[in-house]
Amino acid sequence: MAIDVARLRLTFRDEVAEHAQTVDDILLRADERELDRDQLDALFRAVHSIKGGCGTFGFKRLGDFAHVLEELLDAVRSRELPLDLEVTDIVLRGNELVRALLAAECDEGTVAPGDIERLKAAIAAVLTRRIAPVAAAPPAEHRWLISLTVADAARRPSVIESLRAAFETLGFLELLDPNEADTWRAELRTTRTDGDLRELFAFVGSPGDEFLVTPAAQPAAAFGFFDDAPGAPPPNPSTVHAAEGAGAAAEPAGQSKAVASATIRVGVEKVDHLVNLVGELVIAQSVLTRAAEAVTGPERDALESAVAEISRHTRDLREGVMSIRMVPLGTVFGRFRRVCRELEERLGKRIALRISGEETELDKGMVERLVDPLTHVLRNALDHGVESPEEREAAGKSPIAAVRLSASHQGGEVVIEVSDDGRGLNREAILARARARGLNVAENPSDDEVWALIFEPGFSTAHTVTDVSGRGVGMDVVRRNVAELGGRVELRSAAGAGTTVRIRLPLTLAILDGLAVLIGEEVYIIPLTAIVESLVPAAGSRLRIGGGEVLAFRGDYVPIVPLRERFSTGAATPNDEVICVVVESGNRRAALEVDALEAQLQVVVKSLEANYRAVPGMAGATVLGNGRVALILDIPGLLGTIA
Amino acid sequence: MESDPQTITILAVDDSASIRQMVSLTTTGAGHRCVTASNGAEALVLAANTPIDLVLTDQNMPVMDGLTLVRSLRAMPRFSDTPILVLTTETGDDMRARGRAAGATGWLTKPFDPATLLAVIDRVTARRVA
Repeated sequence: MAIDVARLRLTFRDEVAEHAQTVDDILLRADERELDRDQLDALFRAVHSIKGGCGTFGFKRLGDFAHVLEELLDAVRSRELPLDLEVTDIVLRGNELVRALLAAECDEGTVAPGDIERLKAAIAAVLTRRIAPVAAAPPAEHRWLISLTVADAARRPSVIESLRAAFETLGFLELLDPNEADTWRAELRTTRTDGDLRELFAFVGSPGDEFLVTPAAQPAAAFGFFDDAPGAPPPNPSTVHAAEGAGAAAEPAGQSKAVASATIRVGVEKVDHLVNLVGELVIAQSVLTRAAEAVTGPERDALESAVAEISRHTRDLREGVMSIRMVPLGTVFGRFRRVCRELEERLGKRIALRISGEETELDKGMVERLVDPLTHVLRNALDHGVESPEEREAAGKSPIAAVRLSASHQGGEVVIEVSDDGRGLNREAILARARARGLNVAENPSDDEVWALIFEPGFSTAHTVTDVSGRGVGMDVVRRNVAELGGRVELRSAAGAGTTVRIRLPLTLAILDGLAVLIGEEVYIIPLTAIVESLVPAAGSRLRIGGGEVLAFRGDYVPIVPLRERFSTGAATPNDEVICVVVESGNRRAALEVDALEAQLQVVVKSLEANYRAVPGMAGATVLGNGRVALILDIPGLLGTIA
Repeated sequence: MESDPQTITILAVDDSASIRQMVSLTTTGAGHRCVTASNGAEALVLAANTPIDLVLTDQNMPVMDGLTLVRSLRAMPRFSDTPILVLTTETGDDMRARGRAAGATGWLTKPFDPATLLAVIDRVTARRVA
């Protein structure tokens, strides 16, 4: 039977992942005490399905563990065991272990046997709390169905003989289908596990041999027909029997459509390949646009409109392909409810967590990498920001703290906010801590400057390192994680009123809208989202202050960054010919001095780190329409270097 | 094809895509036709429009479970005598007894291998040939 086992296993693998996600979704999105019958059934069914497929596809360790987890969920579903925080926690940990075992079965990691045993013991422990009498322990004896197909016919008798002899020492061996030509089948009753049998076979078998061990049904048969049941074949095949069913309706064409699923599964690598191709298309399209500009004469109009159409379709295609990779943030937000519930108990605080914008979509790769920083920010808010109920009441606040986790689209960005109505940041404590740590502290620092200290490596104001957030990582790691995603972290706080941490992220990392500018001979790209305005400074709007220059801009002064000097590209031009591009990141602004504005365009971001090495002040590189390489400015990074 | 008694149409009902895929690959590989549904309700819609010679159905499924499907199929005149096998992972006879009470023809334990599935089909076709 030519069946692509690898493909089946892959499908099954996706399925297990989906079932595991279902378990998470059910347990993480709601308070476990409020789960209804349907949800408890769905929990059971998810784990039941995982177990069911494991036998078929040979995922032994996963199947074993899923069986134990299933037993726990069966007790929960039948209300023999209340689903409290402890049980929920075990199920969630079990679910994590399911994922780890799945990865291990696919050779993508390892799981220590101790981890499995510990969790099994925990499950056994809570199962003793069952209300109903516990079912009798399963017999230690297994019944295994063994099927062996030897690839090389010449070796067949000797392999079967040695295997038969070996298995007979393990228990009671019964041969099935002795007349079958190609496959040797037997049933073995033994206390050994199927893993033991496979190990034994490994001694006598060769690559290409097919050796299957499956648990046998109680009777040796794997299927059966009830006597006298409708549709049952007669015990004696020679008995004449009328064909069942009228068979009147002709088989409709394309019947498979009726059951075609509304979704299809596609490997991430395929989608990434598409993203890359679209990236190349964007580049080719910009080459075309440029070439079209050079055309003169009667063809020009037609060409221009064709090029315009192509760029429109390219943009739509790009958005369409990007959207395949988008997943709603709700998939990670859910788990924060649990984080919150756990901390509530551990810290003795009372918290009302409100989540909004769960449907906001973000690139899948980014969502996964957001979990850690968001967890950290939330833990900080609950641990350091939110006061104890007594303290809150003394301050005239509700004893229940309001913590908000929200996501929204703002322009080309996704903004995620974690805010609390706690005590707010303590300016003096931060300053004292920063000085004690030897950090650079400005004279009379503004609030923003003080808050910025929190993001310095090694900074932590917690008087005691708590179990909750004192994990040796601080806001500096959060900032770095977010910066790696092309985003930035902003922080606002008012004493006594609370703190808001805002994470701004680009929708995707692959393509960005930029402004191409000329600095000396070189073209650089400034991300459009960072640009406030581009202007030719009016006479007298530039002031020399100290060692640098500032530009009077909208009633404020912003530092001028002479990029030509900074990048040492080409000769200086007189100052009145330059153009200033005012950029903004966080609460900082600067005027970047460039020689000319070239064009506004979409560029495909290529990682400098992956292709060359990380360059400070540069977010990446791109290939322009004319085939030249241009560097993309890292605006938050640049602004960070300005005193 | 329709007249060849050795070739039958199998309806596989399981909420697990991998099981459906396995049944489908095994049966079509052996020259049979296979249609699949992911729950009892889908299967009923399919059964109303397609001649089916053998039904394999899981028990635990969302929307409509296997036993409800068996009962519903048996209520349709066209399916009064169609072989219907319930897939059981449960050990013990309880599930089989319930399957029988609902009108199932027999049972097939999960996990099963392709050879077992083909053996079931052989039994069913043997009946037709005869």
